[in-house]
Amino acid sequence: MIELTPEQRQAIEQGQPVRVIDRTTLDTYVLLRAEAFEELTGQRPIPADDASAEIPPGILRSMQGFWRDLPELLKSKRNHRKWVAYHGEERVGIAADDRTLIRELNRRKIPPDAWYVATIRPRQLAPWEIEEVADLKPEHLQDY
Amino acid sequence: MTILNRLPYSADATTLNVRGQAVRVRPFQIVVWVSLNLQQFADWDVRLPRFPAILDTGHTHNFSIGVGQLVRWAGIRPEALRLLGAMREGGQRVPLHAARLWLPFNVRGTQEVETREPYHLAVDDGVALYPDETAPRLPLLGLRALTLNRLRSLVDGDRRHVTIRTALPWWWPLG
Repeated sequence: MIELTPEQRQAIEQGQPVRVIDRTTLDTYVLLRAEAFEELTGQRPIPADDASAEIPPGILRSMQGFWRDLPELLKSKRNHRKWVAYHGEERVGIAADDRTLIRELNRRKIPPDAWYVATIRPRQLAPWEIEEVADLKPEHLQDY
Repeated sequence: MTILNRLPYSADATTLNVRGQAVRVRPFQIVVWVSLNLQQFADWDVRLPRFPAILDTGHTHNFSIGVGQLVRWAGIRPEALRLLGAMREGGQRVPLHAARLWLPFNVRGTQEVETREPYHLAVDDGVALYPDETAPRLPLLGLRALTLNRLRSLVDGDRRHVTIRTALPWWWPLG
């Protein structure tokens, strides 16, 4: 049993790792909250960050309509890889390509900040959640 | 349908002229020409400018471009593109914007672009718009765009060219 000092407890509560030393072997260990350890080792998914506060409300509502319906849409194989358009909670249509849907949205004079179009495919994250992507490589960034 | 037909790439550094700006391309970088527009404009507009991007299957997003490149090369102000969210790359939050991406057909075996309507590349996750300080040196066309559009790519290292074509329909005749 290890008893934490108040400073160590405070550090852990702030999400900082705490180093402890075994006086016998002089080995150093790092204490983490179990949740943080599970996230690091992949046993627990890292909670998704999200960008919903910045997305125009009309687009966000349309994304939420899409996300609500996606499991149902995926049940039909005919829908897979097709496009679907939402205007708020309302599904405007499903088509083989987004251009057909956008022509329909334009025909209905729905403003661009009030709709969302997406492909029907399995997704891990909701459209407003922030995905971590692989870093750009040095050759992408540096001039020579 | 073949979009890029034996598009050559160089084993040497080369220079491109993009709207009067000399842009260096490193050896073995595959340069494709693209056009970008607002997503709500469903149809091809012949007035859209073309600009280079690096085809990089190591880039895991659709398409990444710097604000300055968007303005100077694509002729689009960032605020004109609808905000769809953000991604995190290298510790920074990069906004994702709705856009319509066009990939022109090339004249077989050359970098020359055909005049017919380009191929529309669907990018429903949006395009990543970087601040100039952290933007890629040239826009990047990544693996996600190829995957989402079910494109097949072949790099012929013997002849140093790249072919990109749409997936064959199930009824495509053999031989």
